[in-house]
Amino acid sequence: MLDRRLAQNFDWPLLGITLVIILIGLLNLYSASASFRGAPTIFLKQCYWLLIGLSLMLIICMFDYRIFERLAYAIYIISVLLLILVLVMGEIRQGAQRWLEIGGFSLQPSELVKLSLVLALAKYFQDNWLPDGFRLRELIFPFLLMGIPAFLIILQPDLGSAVLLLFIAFSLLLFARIKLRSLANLAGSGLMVLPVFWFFLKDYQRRRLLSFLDPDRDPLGSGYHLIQSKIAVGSGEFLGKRFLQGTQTQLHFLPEQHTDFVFSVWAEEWGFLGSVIVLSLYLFLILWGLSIASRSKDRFGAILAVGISAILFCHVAVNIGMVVGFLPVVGVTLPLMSYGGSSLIITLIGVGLLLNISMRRYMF
Amino acid sequence: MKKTRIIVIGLFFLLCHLVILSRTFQLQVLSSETLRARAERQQRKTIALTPRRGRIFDREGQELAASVGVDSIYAQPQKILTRQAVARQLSPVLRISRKELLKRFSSERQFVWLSRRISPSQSQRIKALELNGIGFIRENKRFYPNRTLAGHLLGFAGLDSQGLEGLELKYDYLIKGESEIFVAERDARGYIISPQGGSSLRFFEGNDLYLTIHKGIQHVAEKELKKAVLETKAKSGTVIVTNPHTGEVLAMALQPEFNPNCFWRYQPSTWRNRAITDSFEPGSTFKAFLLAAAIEESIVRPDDLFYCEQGSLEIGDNIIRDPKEYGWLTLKQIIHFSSNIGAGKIGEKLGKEKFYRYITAFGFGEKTGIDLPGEISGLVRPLRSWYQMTLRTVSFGQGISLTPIQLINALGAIANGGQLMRPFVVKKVVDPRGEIIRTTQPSVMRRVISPGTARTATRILTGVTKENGTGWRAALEGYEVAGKTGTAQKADIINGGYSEDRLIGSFMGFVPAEDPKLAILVIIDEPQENANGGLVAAPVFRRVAEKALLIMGTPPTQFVSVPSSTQFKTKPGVTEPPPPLKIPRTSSSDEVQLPNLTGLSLRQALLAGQATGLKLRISGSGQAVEQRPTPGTAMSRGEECWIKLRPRSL
Repeated sequence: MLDRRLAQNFDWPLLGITLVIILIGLLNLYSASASFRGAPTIFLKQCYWLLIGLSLMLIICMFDYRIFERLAYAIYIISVLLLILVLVMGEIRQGAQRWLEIGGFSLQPSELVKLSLVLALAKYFQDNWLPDGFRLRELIFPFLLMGIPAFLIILQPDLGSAVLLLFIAFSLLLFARIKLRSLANLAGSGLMVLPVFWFFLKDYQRRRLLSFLDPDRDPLGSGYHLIQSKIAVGSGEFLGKRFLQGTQTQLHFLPEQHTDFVFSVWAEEWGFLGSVIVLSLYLFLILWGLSIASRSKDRFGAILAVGISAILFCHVAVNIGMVVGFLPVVGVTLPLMSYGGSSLIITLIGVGLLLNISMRRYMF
Repeated sequence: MKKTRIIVIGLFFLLCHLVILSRTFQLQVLSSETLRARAERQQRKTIALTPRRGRIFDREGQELAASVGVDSIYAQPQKILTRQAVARQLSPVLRISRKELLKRFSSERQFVWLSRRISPSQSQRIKALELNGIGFIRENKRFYPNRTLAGHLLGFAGLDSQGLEGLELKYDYLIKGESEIFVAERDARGYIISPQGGSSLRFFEGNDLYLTIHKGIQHVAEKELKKAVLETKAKSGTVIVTNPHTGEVLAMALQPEFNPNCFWRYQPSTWRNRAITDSFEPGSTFKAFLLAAAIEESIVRPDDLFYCEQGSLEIGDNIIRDPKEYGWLTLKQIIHFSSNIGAGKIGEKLGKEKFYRYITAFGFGEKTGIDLPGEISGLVRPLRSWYQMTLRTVSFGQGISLTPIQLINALGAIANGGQLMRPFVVKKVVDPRGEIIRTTQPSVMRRVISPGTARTATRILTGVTKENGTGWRAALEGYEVAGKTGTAQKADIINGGYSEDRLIGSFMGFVPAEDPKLAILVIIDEPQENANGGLVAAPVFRRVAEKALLIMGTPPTQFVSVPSSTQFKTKPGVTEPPPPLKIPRTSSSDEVQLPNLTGLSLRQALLAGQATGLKLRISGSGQAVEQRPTPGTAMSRGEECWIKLRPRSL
């Protein structure tokens, strides 16, 4: 299955940059969890998941990605079923029902569904290609593909992931060429829906939004995360406080410092310099993904690559945007750096797909 | 087409990234300073600790108040695993009930003191238990190594090193040291992470005080006063020793005493330094100032005669009495015998305006300004309310109230040739690096009388301690003593007038009269036996003066032997003193051969030193047993020689 040509075309830069981010992530996670009671467990668990994720990544490389074209809807349906399952029997943590306990492993189906949606949309656009662009009527099915899981995720409730799904679908829509007028209509109706949307929000979600607009109105309550995170990032200054020396981190002022706020640990300990390095690495990874899309031999591959890049971009932008106080607090992980098996493994599968598309760009 | 769309998306991604990057630039570079300050503020927990309090030394560098490091124990309730067990283990060691400990453990606070300044053995036992959430901080505890010695002067400091009484209070701002700030890292829940916080510990030690007090003289004054107060069953007593030339206080002893190490065990009234905070009516000692004023104003001469009315003078409803029925007395005799009627007549002759002027000039009615807290000014009646009787009674020390320090300070003015000095207790202040940051220079407040008047008054006052004087028990072998006795009736608060049986016996004097080194005041308050200044106070004066002169190495000035009626005669059984010294002289008048001084008493050694013109450095007391250099060494005048004395064995 892996002949010499495939090996020749193997995308080493992509693998390299992924591994660099992974190493930085491990280093940072070590520091983020150093002051925890279960410190070694967290770090070791992440390493196990990393091994699983890397293995899956390599396995995925071995099959032609077009196999996923056939399996796309099936994977999508399984993902949606898992989302339903999570609502029925999911584990409740921190007031949200997001995790499924499967044989000792906590799966977060909302992570999986992002990739499934990209696969399903890629399949749909591949099958129903309109060279002149889509009108709203032809987008009903893609909307459903996006809407069903988004709705289920909102029920968890996990607003952040739901919005992310919207973003990802939207960027794919842009790529697949939506008609300008349809886009305008869409935007207009979206704006009209927005105030109604407010009434559907849970109390804590409203508080988060308000405290994002003015974090100091309740510094010890809902604004706490934002303030502490900003303090951590800012107090890192230009060169940072050095590895394991981040006081905000080691004294636990940062909430969720090993998961959603892991970037603030990095920024505190490595300063602005560290922030620039990590942001550049991510940017490179994302743009590389787009370049794979542009070079891919077929439409499915291109859409898939754009989708995966969009997933990565959305995660990075929303997560770091939240850490630096740009966006309200939402439960969105930083790919390859946040602690958590689902996110890490799904991201590595995504990278595996990118590698797959990249190495088969000349094959027919 | 595909490419352009990808480029558009890519540019959008890039733009978003740049926005985020600019935001991190804003946080980490532009506003990093305020955010860092905010981080530090919330991560730090400060606990004010007591700094090392400055020490207090006597004039020769002997430690009177010290600070020792001891452990204080605290708890961090949230870190304690099993509160019941910890309370059970700590309760017997700390002697705090288990209930009380549990109450403190359930505190919401992150830091609670359990016991401040525990003993080393307690701290060792608790450290051995290795309990979670229990920690120690090194603190300083005040320690007064000489226990009761100079307790009233020193005062004491409270648990948090705040001066509460005496010098500790007056000089608190200098010896306290700046508050030591203990900085601990504190996590989001308020747990203290690093109580041993190393580098963030700030130390500002207090300055040391050096007093004018001489520990040896203070000790003697206290010992003799205590003895007298016990013997006469008196209520209380005061002794002050000063250097009349400088105003330095060499000793200030009070009875009843208290131990500042455990001041809380004493009645608060015993803490008071009554030498400056309480006034009394002085009685006859005040005649000394009448005398000085009358001589300065040249209204009397020492041999002027006054008729003393055979011991009783009726003025309106009042009768002034003398202890004996005196007829005509000279001015000198009025002082020597302490005639009240005579004093009253001198006062009348002087007139109230002039007398009042001298009274205030001697510093009565105003604070002396001594550097001790709580001084009062006493009470001098304003001139407009002086009546015929007032002038007479004030002349013998009734109807005026003053503090012991005012009295001895005013006497100092007569002793030193007429200048009123400001009394002081702190000689210098030395910072922790050993640099002197303040020295007290003797300061003259004003000239009260001329040197001639002072000389005349002194000559008359020396008669008080002569054979016929009221104060003969104050006389010293080898030194001329000028002084005045006083026996005052205490004002009767309940019945009005003066009490017949509640008396204050006092003696004040200075020695050697011609060049005073010491001025000493002795007050015995309400003695039950021998309530007479000449009887109860004069002997205390003599004993304190005798030892203080020895301690200071003041050579005797008089070589006449004291009348045998006094008790100085060597007791039978004690070895006879060696024969008088023959002092060999070498040809040059500036060179002497060092005589053999061993076997001599201190007084004899001092005499020998004077005769040869050598300076003596003396250690110990009793009989000379060792000397350096060896006898026969040729020495020049003014050179120093060292002798060691040891108490005579029986």
